[in-house]
Amino acid sequence: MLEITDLHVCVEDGGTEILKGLSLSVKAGEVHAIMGPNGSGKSTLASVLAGRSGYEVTSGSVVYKGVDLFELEADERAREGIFLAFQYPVELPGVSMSNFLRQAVNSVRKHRGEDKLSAMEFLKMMKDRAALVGLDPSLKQRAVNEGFSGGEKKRNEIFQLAMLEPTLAILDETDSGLDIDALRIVSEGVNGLRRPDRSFLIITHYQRLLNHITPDFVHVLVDGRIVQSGSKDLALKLEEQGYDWLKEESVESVN
Amino acid sequence: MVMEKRFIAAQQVLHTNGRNGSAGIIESLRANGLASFISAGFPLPREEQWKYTPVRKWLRDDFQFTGTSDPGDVQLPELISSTKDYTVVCVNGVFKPELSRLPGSELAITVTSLQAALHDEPDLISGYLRRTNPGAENPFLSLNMAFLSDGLYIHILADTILDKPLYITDIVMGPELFFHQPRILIVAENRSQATIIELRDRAGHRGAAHNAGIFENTVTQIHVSASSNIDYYHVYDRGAGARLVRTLNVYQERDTTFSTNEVTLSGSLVRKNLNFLPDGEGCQTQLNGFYLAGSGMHVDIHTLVDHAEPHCNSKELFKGIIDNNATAVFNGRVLVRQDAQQTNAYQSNRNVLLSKSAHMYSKPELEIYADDVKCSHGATTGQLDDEALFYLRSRGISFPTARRMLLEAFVSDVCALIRVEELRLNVEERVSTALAGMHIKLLSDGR
Repeated sequence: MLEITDLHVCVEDGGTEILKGLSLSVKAGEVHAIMGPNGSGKSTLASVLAGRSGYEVTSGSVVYKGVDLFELEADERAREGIFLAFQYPVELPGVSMSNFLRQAVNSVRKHRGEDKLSAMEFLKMMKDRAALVGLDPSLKQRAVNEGFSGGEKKRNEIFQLAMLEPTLAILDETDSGLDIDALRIVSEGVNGLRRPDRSFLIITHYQRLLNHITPDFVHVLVDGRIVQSGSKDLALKLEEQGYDWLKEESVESVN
Repeated sequence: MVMEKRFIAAQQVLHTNGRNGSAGIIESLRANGLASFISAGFPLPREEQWKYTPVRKWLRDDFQFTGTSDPGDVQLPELISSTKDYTVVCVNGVFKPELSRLPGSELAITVTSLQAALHDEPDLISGYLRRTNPGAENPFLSLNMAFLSDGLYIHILADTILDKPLYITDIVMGPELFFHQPRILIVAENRSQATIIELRDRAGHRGAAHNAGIFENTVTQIHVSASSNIDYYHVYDRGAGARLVRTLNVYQERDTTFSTNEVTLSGSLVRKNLNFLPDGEGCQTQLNGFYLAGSGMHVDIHTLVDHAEPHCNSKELFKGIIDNNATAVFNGRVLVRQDAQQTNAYQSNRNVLLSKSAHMYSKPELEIYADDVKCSHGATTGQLDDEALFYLRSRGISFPTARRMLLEAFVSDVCALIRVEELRLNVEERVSTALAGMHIKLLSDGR
């Protein structure tokens, strides 16, 4: 599904190198958690996979469904099934949720060779999927994320994930800024969306999200490289001991 | 004066004194107009009011001043054909009752030709025509007067409440380089209410291409008598190449509410002089509008709100999208005179540039002589938000669609201020069409 090999990424225009040889393999249906201290490159990885501008890939490759990911524009990647749940969802004043989602869903469906949804089908789909994350159905009249609370914005990301039915969902610190109840709702939403053909890349700073969503693999990203991979138990160890012991190991391995 | 001479000569040929000796009042108005035009001349680039709009550039053509006298088959704008509301149709500025759908006689409103009105009440009507808001004088206003022959007069009598919106449209049929100078006078008596739409779109005799060479110098005067409420709209969409200089003069008596929404969608030159004089206490003045300046367009909005009396509010919101090599100018002058205490004036101008070669000149001009007032303004010019574009694209929406959605959203709040739903939907459709025609890449080159 996704094969990242020795990926090096800098900030555009000769800026600092952030990812320094990252490799990762994700198979269909797997849930991978990427953890790591602040500034280790977690969000950069999410951005580069989704196609945000401002980064430069200096070497390495990312193959997604057998295709060189960097050959595709951000919108093409989305139509090919990559979904990024934003750490900071963007407010779009004047763009209604229903218009936004209709455009998005129909773009993706068209690409998959599926028919446009009728207005009725679309409304029903919106209603059902909004219920998954406990969003008020009246939100369709509202502008995208405008006036949404922090929790609503994050739930809205998972709602969009449910609408677009991606094959690779990247959750960029979806747990940040959520209270315990919202965290539970979002996690249940994600769990309900797990499929044998849908993989998840869950980027998080804390272990608490992984109490609700059980990952198949946990990777620790330190200074632009994965320094440790393991089962969900690794997340618990990190919660107890922090990242420092890994940072030391990372330095040793470099030396 | 070489350029002016052509206009003066044409005026003399058309309106030689004595040719129509009976209409002495029109002659005298024309003579006044001509005299002011001769003394002022067309604006020079050094004049502050025209600094960014070298208007002479658009005046060099060998214009003709009379339209087709027998219009034959008139093609009405779609909106005018389909609406169930009142319509007033003019052809080349002349009122055509047979093409119009007027309010019934149960409503105390008169719609007639300016010529007829001048004939019936020469002193009253010429008095209105001569009136200009202080500071609103400009040579185009004089030139329009110099060529005055007819026009449209709408008189809403006291206590009349118009039950449906009234659309005014003016169809242009003339030679290719037609210099067209229509005039509209609207007088709303005390405690009246009306919604009036002035629509200048591309429909006409021979279709869209027909308008490509026209130059319109339009004057609309609106007199709002005490305690009246006028909701006014101006939609300009003549098509590529058409030129417009528009003067709007609004005079408000006490306790009146006047609002306009100025929509500009096409044309090579669009210059608007929008002048408001709330000349009594308790007036509300609202000026809203947006301009979509596509390739080859030059749009210049000059507004003047002259607060002379206390306890008045004015609120102004103009938004613009400027593409490719287009230029837009916004000059918002708000004058608060010494006696105009407790004035509340707010002005906002926001613009999005879609290309490196697009230009925007935005200038708020607040002149305040009273000490107990609230005045504020804001002007911003920027580009579309990259993160917003990325957000849409990350959901599978293509770049052109994402951009169109954000641009539509940008002007959507001004569209939402159009209280006539049929008109709002029509304008939104025109916006989509106009935006679809903007192909130029963004500054960020679209990635």
